Amino acid sequence: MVVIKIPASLRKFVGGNERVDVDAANVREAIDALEGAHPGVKAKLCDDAGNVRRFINIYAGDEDIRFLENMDTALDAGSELQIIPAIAGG
Amino acid sequence: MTRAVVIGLGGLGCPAALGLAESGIGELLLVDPDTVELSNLQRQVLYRTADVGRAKVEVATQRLSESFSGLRVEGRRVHLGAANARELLRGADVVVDCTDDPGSRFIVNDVGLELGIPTVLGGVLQFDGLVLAVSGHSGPCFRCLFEVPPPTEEARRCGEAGVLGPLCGVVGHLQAQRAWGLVSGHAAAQTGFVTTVDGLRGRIRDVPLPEATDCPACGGLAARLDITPYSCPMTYVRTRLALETLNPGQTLDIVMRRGEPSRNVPRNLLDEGHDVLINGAVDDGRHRVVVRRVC
Ligand SMILES: [Zn+2]
Repeated sequence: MVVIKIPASLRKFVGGNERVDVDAANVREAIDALEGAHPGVKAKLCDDAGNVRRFINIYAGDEDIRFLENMDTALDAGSELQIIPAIAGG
Repeated sequence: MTRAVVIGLGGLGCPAALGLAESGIGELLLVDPDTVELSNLQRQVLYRTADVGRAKVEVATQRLSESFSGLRVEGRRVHLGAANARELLRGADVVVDCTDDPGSRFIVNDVGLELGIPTVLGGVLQFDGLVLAVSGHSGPCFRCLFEVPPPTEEARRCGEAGVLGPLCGVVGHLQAQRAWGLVSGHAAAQTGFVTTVDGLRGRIRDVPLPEATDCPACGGLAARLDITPYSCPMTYVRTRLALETLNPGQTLDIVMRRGEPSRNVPRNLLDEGHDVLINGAVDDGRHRVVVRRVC
C-alpha cells in the first residue's frame, strides 16, 4: 500500500481526505488508482499526455520523482507520495 | 544598515513587512501598484476601512513609520516586472516576494541569483501555503522546483479563490523569519528545502529541494553528502571523494557534525581553493557547508 498525501487545495477532489491509500508498484499506478477512486483528480496533476504538470511536483519520500524514474519511479509498500503545487497567490 | 525589499503588499506582504520591522531591520523598500480595497481588510493587516482607495505603499509606509520609529521605510507604487526588477532589487540585502503574480516569483528568483541577493519566496491560496528561501550565490532555487509558472486559468488569486486569513499571517511571518535568518548569520538553516504549510491541519513540513545540475537560474545542486556518521579525517576524505565526482563550477551540499568536522572541513576546502558559499549551523548537532568546486 502506498500513501498519497493530498495538499489542502486538492482535497475537495478526493472527498476531503488528507491522505489516500492505494495499491501501486510505481507512481503511474498510484495516480491511476487515485483517479479510479476519485475520478477527475488526475487532470489536476497531469496533462493530456499523462505527464506531471510542470507547476506541480511529486515527491516519493524525500526525492523529487523528476530526478528518479519520473512516472515509472518504483514504490515500495509504505512509500509516501507528496504533491507540491506551485502556489501562486499572495 | 540592513535593507530588505518586500514585493507585493497583500495578504503575505503585510505580515512579512510587519515581521521584518519587528525583527529590527534598518531599511524597508515596499513595492506594490495597487490601492486598498474593502475585501483586502480581512487579511491585509496594515490597512483600515478609512484607507480604502489609497495606495497600499502609501498607507503601509505611514503605518510602519508610526509603529517603528527607527525604521527607514519607503514605498514605490509600481508593478515589478522583468524591466524594472534589477533597479528595484539592487542594493538590497534580502528580497521577500509576496506577490500574487505567478511570473513575478520567477523574476525575483532569477534576478536575486544574478545580483547575488538572497530571496524568500512565498505563496498562499485557499488552505495551502509555501515558503522557499534561496541563497544569493547558490541553488537550489524556485526554478529547480517548478519549471514554469502555472497557467493563468490555474493561477487563481486569493481575491478570486479565497484564502484562510490566519494562513497568510503564518506564511508572511515565516517569510520574514527566513529573511531575518538569511541576513543575520543563520543562512545555513534557511535554504535547501521548501516549507509547505497545511492550513486545514496546521501542519508545517520541510521537504528537501531536488538535486539538479541543469537549472538555468542557479546552476543547480550537483549532490548532497551526509558525513555526520564520520569523524576527522574521514570527514574530509569523504568530502574530497564526493567533490572529485563533480565538474568545476558545480556545487556540493554537505552536512556534518558540529565541532571538529565543522572547523576542519570548511578550512580544508578553502585551503584547496574552493568557493565555500554557505557555512553554518543547521541545528544544535549539525553543521552545513555548501561548496562550489573550483578546480
Ligand atoms: Zn535552480
